Amino acid sequence: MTGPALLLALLLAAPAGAQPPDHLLAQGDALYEEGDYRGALAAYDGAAASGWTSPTLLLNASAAALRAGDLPRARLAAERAARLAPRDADVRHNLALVRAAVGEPPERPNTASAAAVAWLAANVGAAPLAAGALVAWLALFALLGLRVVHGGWPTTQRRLAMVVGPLALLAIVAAFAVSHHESAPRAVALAEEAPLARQPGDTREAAGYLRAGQLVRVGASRGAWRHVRAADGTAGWVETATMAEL
Amino acid sequence: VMRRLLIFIAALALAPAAQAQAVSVQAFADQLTVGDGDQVTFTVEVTGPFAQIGAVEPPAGRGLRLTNVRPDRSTRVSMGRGEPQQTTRLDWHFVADGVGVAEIGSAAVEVDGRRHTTQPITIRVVAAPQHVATAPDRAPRTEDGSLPDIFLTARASTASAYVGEQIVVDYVLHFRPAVQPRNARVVGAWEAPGFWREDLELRTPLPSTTVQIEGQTYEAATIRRAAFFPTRPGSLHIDALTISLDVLRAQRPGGPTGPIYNPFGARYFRQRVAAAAVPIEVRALPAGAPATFRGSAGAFALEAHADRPAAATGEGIRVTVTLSGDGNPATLEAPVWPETPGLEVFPPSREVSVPRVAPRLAATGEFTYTVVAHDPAITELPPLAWTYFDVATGRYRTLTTAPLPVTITGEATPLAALRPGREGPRLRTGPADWTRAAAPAAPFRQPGLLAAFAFPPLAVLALLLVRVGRERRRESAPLRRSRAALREALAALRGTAPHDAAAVDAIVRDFLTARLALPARTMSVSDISASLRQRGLPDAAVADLHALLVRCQTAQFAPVAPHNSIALDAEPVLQALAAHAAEPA
Repeated sequence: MTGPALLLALLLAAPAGAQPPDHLLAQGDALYEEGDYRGALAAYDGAAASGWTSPTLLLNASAAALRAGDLPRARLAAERAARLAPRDADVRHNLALVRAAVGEPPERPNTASAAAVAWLAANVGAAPLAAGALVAWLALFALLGLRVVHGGWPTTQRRLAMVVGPLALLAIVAAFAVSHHESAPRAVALAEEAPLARQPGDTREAAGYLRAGQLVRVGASRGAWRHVRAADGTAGWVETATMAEL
Repeated sequence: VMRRLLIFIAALALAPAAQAQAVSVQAFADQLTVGDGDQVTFTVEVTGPFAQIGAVEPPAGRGLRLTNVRPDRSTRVSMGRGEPQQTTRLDWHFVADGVGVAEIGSAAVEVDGRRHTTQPITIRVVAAPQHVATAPDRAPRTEDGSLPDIFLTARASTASAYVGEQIVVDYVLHFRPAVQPRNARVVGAWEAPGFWREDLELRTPLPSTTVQIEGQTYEAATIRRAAFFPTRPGSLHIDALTISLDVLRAQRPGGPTGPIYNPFGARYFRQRVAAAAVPIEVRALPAGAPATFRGSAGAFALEAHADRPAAATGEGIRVTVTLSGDGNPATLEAPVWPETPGLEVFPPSREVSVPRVAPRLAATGEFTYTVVAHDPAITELPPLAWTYFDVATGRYRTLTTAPLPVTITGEATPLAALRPGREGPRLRTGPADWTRAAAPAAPFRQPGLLAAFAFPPLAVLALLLVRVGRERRRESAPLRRSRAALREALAALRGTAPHDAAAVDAIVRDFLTARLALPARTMSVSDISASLRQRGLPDAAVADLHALLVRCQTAQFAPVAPHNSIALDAEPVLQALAAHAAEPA
């Protein structure tokens, strides 16, 4: 059923849809319930090819790929879903399952600030932090505005400003750091035991190996090679075709 | 004709996991059900990169008589997975000796110094012969009742089978040596309703054997082989197979216009031969199948190994379960993992390989599970059970893998506290919150947010500027008023009647108020003069002002001469005061 489902999905999703592809999502869900996980995955791929996306689509795609034993695609879909809905409980559940299935150890930051940023990224996210920072920022300048208008600060307002001011600055710094953390380019390894070269094109000796579905940070590019760094600190160059960027 | 059908009984690789991955030792028997007096061939096949086969212990037979203590041995090399694969076969032949349940005992083979032992195989011996053949008695006869010089027969491995049991059918072409057939092709449809069919491949060139049939010498060659798996009980049949082929015959004259007769010439003619349909009696499987039964019938072996003996909590362990047997490959399904607290099991990947160059279909399914232990208290991965219907004994049989010992380190993860067993990936149905697919912009790269952050400082700055401007304007108002005071006072004097002393008095006092911030309207003339002197104004100017104010007061109660214009006289007084009065800060 996978073949016809894939063909149907591609045919239906060929033109950029003006309407969201709810029918393909529903078809994928139905195939999933029937146990045809690869067929479901093909339908979800067709929906994604329409130019629309949603956390639900990516969540279900990750579930289907997991069921089908396709770890790289499961990781890719789960990470993309987490970018759209980082605090969605279902998304976090599937992402945890994929990470465990890949066998990737949890990322352990070297410094306290890096740990704090990682914690904030995982539990708060850049957008809420930025919103909080904006609120504190507005409050701080509202107090400053009152001072300008009235020509002085009552004691209460002065004390409030002493609290709100540092808070706003701290929130801005945190939001900026988490935003940078979240928007750093990442990719998922597609090949099993993909070797990490010490230099681009140098395949004589591997600096390490990537597991299929492992998440890496992407760095410099040189020709068909990209520099990557895994959570466990392993770094090296891999061919671009062996990974998919989030 | 010697029966060459081999029935796969069990794949028994008892070496340690590392060795099992490299060298495979499998045990075969040609039939599970034989007639009394029929021959059974038992084969041990060693495949993989090995150097030598050492001591071999032949299997003992119960209810079967071994006819050769030294096994027939053959070796072939093939390419598999990009590497040469060596396969050595050891064949022993038994003859069924009495109706009942017989058994082929264990055989032992030493491969590169490592001893491998096979498990016993049960054979059912019945009174009637079990194979069914359509030749030569069912072959079409010539007009004189003799066998033709070429004919096709079908030979099935058994005439009756259970649902799901494998039946191998060989199509054997018999021909006189002079016929030299070639270019055989199947004609028309060849159906087998009620069967799942898997075609087997034959080694080329096709070997042929010389046989004597009804006093005539024939060559016999198997030209087609297929495995059939009944999918339902009943009296079924496999359709007749018709082939078209070229046969060599002497040329004959084609009539008056035909070619010249050549007694030494011969040419190929196209001819069709057909094998009759093969009837098979299919028995239903008995009731009472265990819950783990998925429909496979035949003989199977099951083993499992993990890719590592130790892992941290939350880390994946890959467990590969290998299921091999002679049942329908389509029914090879992964064993169900038992619910185990603290152990999360992901659906397995499935890979089924079906070697087709074989006397009998023997499929191998590899199912790889990713298992994640969340609890360090776990010390072993539980055994897996898989049930099939054993066609030799006529009973359901459950295979069980050995528990796999593992060492789990680290702390228990939150998933260990979930409900016992596993919670698979979550699926969400219902309306989706669609958005146009685009790379999500980081918050600090969104113009709206940047504008929102920029607005408060700009607003406060604007407020500050407004306030400063207002203060500046407020501070300069007295000065402006002061500068305008003289101009306004002079204009007022010029608009006043020359003798209106009261108006002139008011204008002068207002000028003093505006220019010098002196509340002159409420002060007496003397106080005004004293105040001005205190401010350092010249006495002459103060005296002139004093005189003017006194004159104004006097003129309000006593008429003045018409030529004396108080208003005109007031102008120079005010100009003198303005010239000497310091502007207010």
